[in-house]
Amino acid sequence: MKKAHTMNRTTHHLLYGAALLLLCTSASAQWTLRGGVTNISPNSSASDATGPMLPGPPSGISIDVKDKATVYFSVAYGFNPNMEVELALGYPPTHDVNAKIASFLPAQIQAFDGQRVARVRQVAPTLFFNYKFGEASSAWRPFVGIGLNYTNFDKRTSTAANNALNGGPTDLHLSDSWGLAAQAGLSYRVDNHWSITGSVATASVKTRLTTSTAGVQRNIDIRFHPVVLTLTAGYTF
Amino acid sequence: MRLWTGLAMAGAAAMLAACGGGSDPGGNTDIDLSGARGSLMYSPPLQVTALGAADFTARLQGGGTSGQTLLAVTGAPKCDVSFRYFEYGTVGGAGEATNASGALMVPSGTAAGCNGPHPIVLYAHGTTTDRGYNIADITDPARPGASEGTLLAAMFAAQGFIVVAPNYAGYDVSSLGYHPYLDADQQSKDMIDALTAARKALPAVGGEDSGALFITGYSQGGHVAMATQRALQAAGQRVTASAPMSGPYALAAFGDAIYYGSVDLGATVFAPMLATSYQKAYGNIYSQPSDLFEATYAPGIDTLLPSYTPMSDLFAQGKLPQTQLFSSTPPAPGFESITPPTQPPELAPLFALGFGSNNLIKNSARLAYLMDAQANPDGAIPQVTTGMPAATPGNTMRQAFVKNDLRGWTPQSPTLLCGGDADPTVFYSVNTGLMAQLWSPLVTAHLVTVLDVDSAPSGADDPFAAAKMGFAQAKAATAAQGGANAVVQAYHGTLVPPFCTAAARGFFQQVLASAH
Repeated sequence: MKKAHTMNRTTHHLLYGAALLLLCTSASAQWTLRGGVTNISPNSSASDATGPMLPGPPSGISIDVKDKATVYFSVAYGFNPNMEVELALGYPPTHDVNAKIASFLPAQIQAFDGQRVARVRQVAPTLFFNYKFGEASSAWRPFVGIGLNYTNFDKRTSTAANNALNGGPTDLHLSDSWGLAAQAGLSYRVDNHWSITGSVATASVKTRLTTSTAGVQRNIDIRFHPVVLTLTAGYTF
Repeated sequence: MRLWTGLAMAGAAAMLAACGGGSDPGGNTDIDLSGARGSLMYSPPLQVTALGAADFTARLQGGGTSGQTLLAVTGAPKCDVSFRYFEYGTVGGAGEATNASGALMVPSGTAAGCNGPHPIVLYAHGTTTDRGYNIADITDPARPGASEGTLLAAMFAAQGFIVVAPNYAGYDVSSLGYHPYLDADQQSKDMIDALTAARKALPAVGGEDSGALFITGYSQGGHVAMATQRALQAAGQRVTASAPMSGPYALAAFGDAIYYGSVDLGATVFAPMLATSYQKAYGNIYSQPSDLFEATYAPGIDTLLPSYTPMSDLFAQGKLPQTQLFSSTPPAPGFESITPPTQPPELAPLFALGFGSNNLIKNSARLAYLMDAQANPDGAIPQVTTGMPAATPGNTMRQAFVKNDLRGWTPQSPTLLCGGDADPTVFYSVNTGLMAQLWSPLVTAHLVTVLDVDSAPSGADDPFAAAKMGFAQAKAATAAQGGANAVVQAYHGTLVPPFCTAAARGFFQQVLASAH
């Protein structure tokens, strides 16, 4: 809770700083809207579940968050020919979450291995500061960006398999995550307004999954090392 | 201006996307956190695990000698068993509202007796010092409640009984900061509240109650089982049959016997649990713990047990002496012969363990107790007179024992008292033997059955011959491995329980059969 608060304040400072920069340099400023598709490979690594009435420790019960493609859009404000602030959004993707069961567990628990135990939707706005190499008139412009990611898991659905594994109807909660993000990419300038951009991005995302089944809570800590591949068409005005 | 419009648009998009969020648990859980007695806090309660009859058999076979021995006593599981963990509202020793948890085991399957309505076995567990005790947690054999939970499941649930086994207030997730140990009033309420809550859970977990109710329990649980039977009977609720096992039923006589020097195995653990329980319930056991306990042990002893720290560590840390309950210095002239007693010779070495210079109970407290025991003697200790507890004891500890002594009531439903007559922890003669004496007309009328598993079968038609022979074999095997001392150490906690529990099941099955 305290950590989230600190990060929150950092965000405010960043936003405020970005806003000041924008106001100072309006001469060559321009907006770019980008839309396209993105594929999110969460590359999750999750701890074994901890809590009452589980095997172990280690319990041998963990999860794996699966890939998902979604629609991407962003709005960027370039305040000089080489720098822009970009707010990256997307239609919130819903990831399948599969059970990962260690081989030392009894057969009736093994049976859950690989089964879908949850569906989790994430809302993950990311604010980037991008530096674009080359001239404004260059056809090809590589860029790098660094930013701040906020991830909220707003919709969580427990499957029948999960309820069987946990021992009853199970409420899922995932804590919010704040973390640094980075991206690198390449833009192709089609004309004065249109451009095509490909990028790869990642972010530091950490969350704690808490399951509540008939009053019994168990936890899994999840770290994501996402690889987000995005292809967009941009319109600059 | 354009910037803020842009950010506002992005914000709106993010908010739109967030529509329809929340958690879908994929089913309903009814929650009752009113804390009312007998309230079922979460329904359906958590399923800890479900074992098919074959899985359960394999698990017992793979569980080393203890599993295989158990399997030999219980017979092969014939029903599948769903192990549930439930939480319920109850009260503490001073009537304060609290919560507790327990196990609900529900049989199912196609074998005879596994489907349809089932009789309920309400089980009271024995003394444990482990604050985390959870009889529903059989996920790992090393868990504190796993062996008792597995015994119950194999003996009863896998043979077609629904099992309700509370962990008691003060254990596991209970918010109560102490355990009302051997508090007959509180513990019977705790049991009845657990039963009420478990019955509420049955429809949601596929369990059907046939209406037959059996009560049993071991050691502390033997006392609790009898107190619960008495309370249900007083409330006009039918108990089909009961089987209290190895319990300290005649608590005041047992207490006097111990203060007279017959110190039992485990006395230094029982003493602080009793003192805390009765201090919480009655408030008059001491002004401060050092009135009763030696200064070495008094600080913090009122909150010492039950504990998350293992007993071996508590002994090693010097929180409690292992066996020395009383000082080896007589509390006053005239008490030499009971400090320690040298009679009977076969028990003298056991009693001698209870005395030393690292004693737990102060000599002043022992003396005050003994003076009152002499002035207001129990009807069974040191001599059998009326057999009944002292009418008006003056010592507050003796008053507490009398209040929780189970002599003086009469069961109306079939009752089996089971134990082993050489029990070094809960003495047989002053508890089971004394109850049997007081209930001799009921024994004659075959309403009360008394079983000493540590005795020879009475003949070919002895219904408990198997339990007696099984016990004799187990005892001989222990003696062959570790000698007489190993038998003493294992007697109460390991040797007697499976055979008395098997006898209880046979008794319940026979009561069920004769009712048809």
